[in-house]
Amino acid sequence: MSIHDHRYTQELVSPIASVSRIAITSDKVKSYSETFNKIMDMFETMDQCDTDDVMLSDFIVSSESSLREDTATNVDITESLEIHFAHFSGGYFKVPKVIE
Amino acid sequence: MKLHTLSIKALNELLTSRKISVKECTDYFLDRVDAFDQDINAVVYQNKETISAQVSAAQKAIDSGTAGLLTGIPIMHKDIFCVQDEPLTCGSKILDGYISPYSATLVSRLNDAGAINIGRLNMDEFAMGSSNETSHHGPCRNPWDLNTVPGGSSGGSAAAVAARLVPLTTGTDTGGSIRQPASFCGVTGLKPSYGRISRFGMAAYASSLDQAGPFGASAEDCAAMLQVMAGHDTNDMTCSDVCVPDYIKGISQAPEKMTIGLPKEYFNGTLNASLQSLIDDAIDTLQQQGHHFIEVSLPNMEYAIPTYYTIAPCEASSNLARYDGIRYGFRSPHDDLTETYEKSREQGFGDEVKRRILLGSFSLSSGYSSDYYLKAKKVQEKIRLDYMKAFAKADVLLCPTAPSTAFKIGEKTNDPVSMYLSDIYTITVNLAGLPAISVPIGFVNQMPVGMQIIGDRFREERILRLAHHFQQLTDWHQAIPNQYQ
Repeated sequence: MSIHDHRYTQELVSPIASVSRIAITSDKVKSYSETFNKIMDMFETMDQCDTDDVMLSDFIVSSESSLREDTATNVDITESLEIHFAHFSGGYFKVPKVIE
Repeated sequence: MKLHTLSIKALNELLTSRKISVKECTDYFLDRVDAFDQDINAVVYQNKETISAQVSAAQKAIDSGTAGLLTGIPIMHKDIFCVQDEPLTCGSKILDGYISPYSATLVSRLNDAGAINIGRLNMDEFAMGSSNETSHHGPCRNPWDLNTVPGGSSGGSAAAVAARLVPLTTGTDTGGSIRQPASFCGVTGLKPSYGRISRFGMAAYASSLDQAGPFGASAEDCAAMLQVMAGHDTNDMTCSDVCVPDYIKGISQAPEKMTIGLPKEYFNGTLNASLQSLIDDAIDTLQQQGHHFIEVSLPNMEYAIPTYYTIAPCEASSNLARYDGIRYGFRSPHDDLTETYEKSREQGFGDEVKRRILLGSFSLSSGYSSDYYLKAKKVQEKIRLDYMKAFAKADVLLCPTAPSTAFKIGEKTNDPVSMYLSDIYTITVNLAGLPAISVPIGFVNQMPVGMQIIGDRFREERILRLAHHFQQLTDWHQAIPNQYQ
């Protein structure tokens, strides 16, 4: 299958938005689909690039990972969380009720 | 005395010889922010309460003879870097009310060096944009023409230096976000090699491409800031332990005669004739100094834009999953948890951010990831190998920074593909993890134009040296818009 075979159809917009946890109103689905397909048209040029023999390399990282001592420590950051996060109180992040 | 026209070296001499105090220097630039920023909208946050403590510490360092080059120099940070106990917005509504519990490594290093942090700068939302129009704080404007964009995503950082609100600013560059605004605003902007500067405390957009860097009037000023920002950090496993050279000493040495590569794909007759003419003049200037020019090829450059706009949104869709309305800033309250997530993200993110998240989710979804993400990663590898071949022949490469001067505000907001194409000359550098600097080379219709010098990985000193050499021969980098002189 190549990029040519893919279209960001209106039917795809809602499920992709759902897995992305972004609410999209039905009136915006068409415009998203149109914009995405314009962008996808641009992506089609990648199909012309022959990558059959290309091996992926991890060229990005050139230093060794730093490992911490594997020791347990007691960390009390409750006060810091209270100060820095708007929806934190009493030691917990407040969320809508999940279990009835 | 016009402090805003001085180099970092000259300001340092005034400070260390006690001809001016740190307070006088800081107040001078704070006054410029008050006088000029209302029209530009570069500054999105100032905490004047913390400034006096920084000023006292810097003055103490000067008085005790322990000052460095940046001690007492006012700077501002792009609003993507955490500063402990201060708000961080990344230009987004979704971070409304969020306070950073710690400082980014580069913020701490600049603080420790005595630089005075006097504010935070506007940017495209989560660094996604090429015009600084996607900011929740409203668009930043280009000091050379307030009806035009400053470029993006680090538009506030470039505009602040262009109007000389401060001598130095920080920015980030994922696909050109330092170099393109530097070109649009007539300032010098350096994107270092991936891994040269720690990303700890820098909000992530596309983690494998994001890199912080400095803006200044000149390459020499950028070198002073890079010296402090660069170096290994155990808090960022992608931050390299490759030795950091002495950039200041490096650029002040006699310029070596370099072999400069001109990628033929960048000089194929498609560049606007006025911009091409300025590039030709810059090449002539360097040629007259004995630098040798050769043609090189980057044959896979035509695939750069789709490659970047596949990889970056994929990483963004993952990185921005953390903004769920629960832990950070803005929340749209609903009785249902899923609805809270979805509505918070719908209302908290702007259109361009949502567009890139949805593109990334699509490209990574089952059945598509090998055709998009994997394909793009392989093309990225080919682009990197093209550069390796070019650097086997040339010391540095030279090309335009952007295909145009700054465009009008609103001109491209409804056409994302056209907006993406404005990164055509900068994106491959990020895909290959290389350093590059944009330097001013003249004006077209009173708007600045930049030229890009690209170096091999971790060879920042080489591109800084050539940029400094060019700026010793020209004075484009000293130009300041009339109303800010």
